[in-house]
This record gives sequence, C-alpha cells and structure tokens, in this order.
Amino acid sequence: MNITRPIIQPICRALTEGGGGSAPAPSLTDQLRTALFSNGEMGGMWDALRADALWQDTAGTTPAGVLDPVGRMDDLSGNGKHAVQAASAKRPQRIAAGLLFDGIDDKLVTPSIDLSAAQCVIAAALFEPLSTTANYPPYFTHSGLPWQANPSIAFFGRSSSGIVVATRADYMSAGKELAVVLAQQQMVAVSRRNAPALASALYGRWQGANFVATQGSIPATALPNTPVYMGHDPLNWGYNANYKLKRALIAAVASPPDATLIDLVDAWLGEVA
Amino acid sequence: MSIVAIIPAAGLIVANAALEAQGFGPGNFSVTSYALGRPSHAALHAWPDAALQAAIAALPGVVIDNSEGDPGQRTKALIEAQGAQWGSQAPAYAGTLTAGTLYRYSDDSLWWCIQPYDTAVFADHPSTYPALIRRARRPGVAEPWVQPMDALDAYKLLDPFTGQPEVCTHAGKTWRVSQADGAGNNIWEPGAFGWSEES
Repeated sequence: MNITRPIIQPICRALTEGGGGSAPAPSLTDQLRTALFSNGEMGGMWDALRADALWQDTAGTTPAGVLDPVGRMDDLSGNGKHAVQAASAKRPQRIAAGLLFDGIDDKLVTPSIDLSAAQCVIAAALFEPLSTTANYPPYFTHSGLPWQANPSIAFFGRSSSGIVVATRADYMSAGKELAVVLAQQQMVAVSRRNAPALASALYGRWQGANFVATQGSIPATALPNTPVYMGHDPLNWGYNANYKLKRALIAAVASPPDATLIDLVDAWLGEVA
Repeated sequence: MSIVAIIPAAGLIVANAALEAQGFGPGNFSVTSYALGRPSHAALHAWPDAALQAAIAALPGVVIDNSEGDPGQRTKALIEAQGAQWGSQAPAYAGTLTAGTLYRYSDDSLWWCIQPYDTAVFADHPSTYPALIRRARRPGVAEPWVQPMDALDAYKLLDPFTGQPEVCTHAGKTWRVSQADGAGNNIWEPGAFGWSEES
C-alpha cells in the first residue's frame, strides 16, 4: 500500500537534494508545524532528527554532535516546551538515527503540557531506546509526570519495520506513561484529541493487503480493554525485544480532521517507515 | 566506553552534590538498589564523557565498572557485585519466592522475601504474611508506616535518595519526618512525635 508515496517522494527528494537552486520545499516537519500550530495551538513538537534542535546543555548553547550526550531537544512548535535533562548521567546520546536512551536512567522532560486542552497538541520525536532492562523507565515525559491518557486521544503509528499500531487512548490505563507504552509496543504514534474520524480515515488507508488486524501481545495492564492493533507482522512485537522506536508524533486537533492534515501525517509516518 | 558507577547510600548526598557543584547537574546517581530489603546503593550509567568520568572517579566510595558491553547488563552486574539488587528490575511477585530476593507486586510496591514460599499457597496480599515477606520502602513513596526495629530500619530526616525527609502513611494520613535523633533517625509513631502531617 503506497498511498503516501506521491506525497513523500517529492518532499524527501527536496530534503536530500537540498532543494537545488530555488527555494527548497519545506520539510515534512515544517509542514506539520505549520499545519498544526499556525493558530496558536498549545503543546509541543519534537524531532530528534533535527540536528539544529539538539544541544549538549540545557541552555541550548553547545550543539550536540553525533555520539554526544543530549541535554536539550528543542520544541519546534514555538511554544517553548523544550525537553531537557540537567543531570549529565541521565542524558541520552545523539546517534545518526536520532536519540539513544540507555534503558537505565536516561530521560528527557518537557514542561507541563495540558493534554486536556481543547487545542492542538503535537509531539514528534525519533528515539532509539535500548531495551536491556525489564522495566524500562519512562524516557520522555512532561514535568516528569505521566502523559495522562485522554479518552479522546487516538494513537497511530508505524515503526521502521513497517508495523502499524492503532489504538485509542481510552484503552490505556490512566496515568500510564505514554512513552513507556510506545516503547513496550515498539511503535511510533500519532494521537489526536476528538479524532474518531481521523482514526477511521487512517484505518482505511493502512488496513489493506499488507496489514492485518490482530490482538497483539501488549500487556493487559497497559491496554486493559480491547485495543485494535494492525501490523503486517504482529509476531514481531516483543515486549522486551530490541525494538527500534523510530518516530513518535503525538497530536491533538479538533474534530473532524481535514484531509490535507491526514495526508501530511500519513506522509510523515511513511517517511519514517 | 560508557560509564557505569555505584555508590553506597551513605555517600550519595555528598557524591551528587559534588557532581552538581562541578556542573554536571543534580541527581546523577539515581538508580536505587536494595540490600536486605532496604535502599542501599545508587547507581548511574552515562554515555562517554571524559570530564564526567574523571569527576566520578574522584568521588570517595564510588565503584566504577570498566568492562565493555551492554549498559544494562553492566549496571546489573555492578549492583549485584555490591550484594544489592536493582529495584526497578525486581522480578514479579509470583510463583515460588526465594529468600533474600526483592519482588515487585502488581501495584509496583517492592517486597523483601524472608522465607521461601509459594504465592499460590499463600495467595493473599503479601502484607498478610509478615513472617515471610516485608515491604521494602521506596525512596519518595509514602508507604504504610512500620515500627522500626533498629537504626537501619529507622525513618530518616534526610533520605539520601530524595534529599527530603522520609514519608509514610499511617492512620489514614500521610506523614513526613520532621524531627529525629542526633543520627537523623526517627523511630517514633506518626502522630506521637517527630512527624508532620502532609497537607
């Protein structure tokens, strides 16, 4: 299923070729930022592939090169919700594929975000956590607190291996760390408040010949009700396998979502996959 | 090579303060480890950083792992080499329990097994069997108060893992240590002496 290709390819080409002599096409990240934050929406947006958004220090004065510890990942939304870590030992490492968390004590924390707010919230990231410990600590939180699941948030995602996960936040137990859930499920995610229509739309796009609906092996404590998982190889989901969480996009927008935004989200996920 | 290090609880406050004073931020040693059912050590793992490594190496009482390999496995091995157990990696409370091991109950509380037993036979909440298993106090978590038996069990006016007075629940309220003896220990019942009620 290649619905996203017409969108992805020109943008990726523009990115890789630097746009040639004329003005380069805006990146998917920039397009998403415009689409989701142009009306002053609350929340934040993070992308660990953006080298110019990663810093060694919390003040954002020393750029983080590859293999450097990262003390700050800028919020690209303009809302100032920068994810930081003051303790040197708890900083993830920048790698070519994003951020590497040690599975022991690494963690980035953003200022508090009100996920119950009616306006848009979006978060984007590219993480590669190690999975060497049985209880991997929450590695991306706000105010050090759980991302409280909102009954009206829906999550969607795709990993580098092509696995797609879709569920709804009201299937998550209250207080469960979103990042933990994502990590345990080896998934990337998009979430939107009040977005059942978006859920249906993305189901419709992803649920094709290459995808099957299944009940995955997600811990019941994480998803106590009856979630819907979609993936072309659900057996690859492992609670503690060496997953490679590639990108997370967490968004909350008013319902109903518009088709252009769906295209953009779909393209971004396609870019990751 | 990344850095794995551990320090006894007695040196934790000084160690973290020393690192913070050198610009490495607060709370670098944060991975709580337990011995005999009590928080006993704090460990850390850091990605390669020569300055940080030098500062850690200069700390009194610190033990550093110089091996190669998986950070999680190295951290676990270093903790266990101190006779301690990694709290967040405690096995689930289920099946036949082994004496001297810390277990994680379904509500995330930690329990220290005194005598081996089968949870299928003794199937009620672990607090039902104080002769078999005891709750391990987690730093910063208000858990039911238990009468301390000695200084090792005493509640601390300054918990080295949190930098705050210890907290507990008792008689339907949450309490925080407000007074202690000269060694910083509180063995009194909340409401009787040395505790302030949390608002």
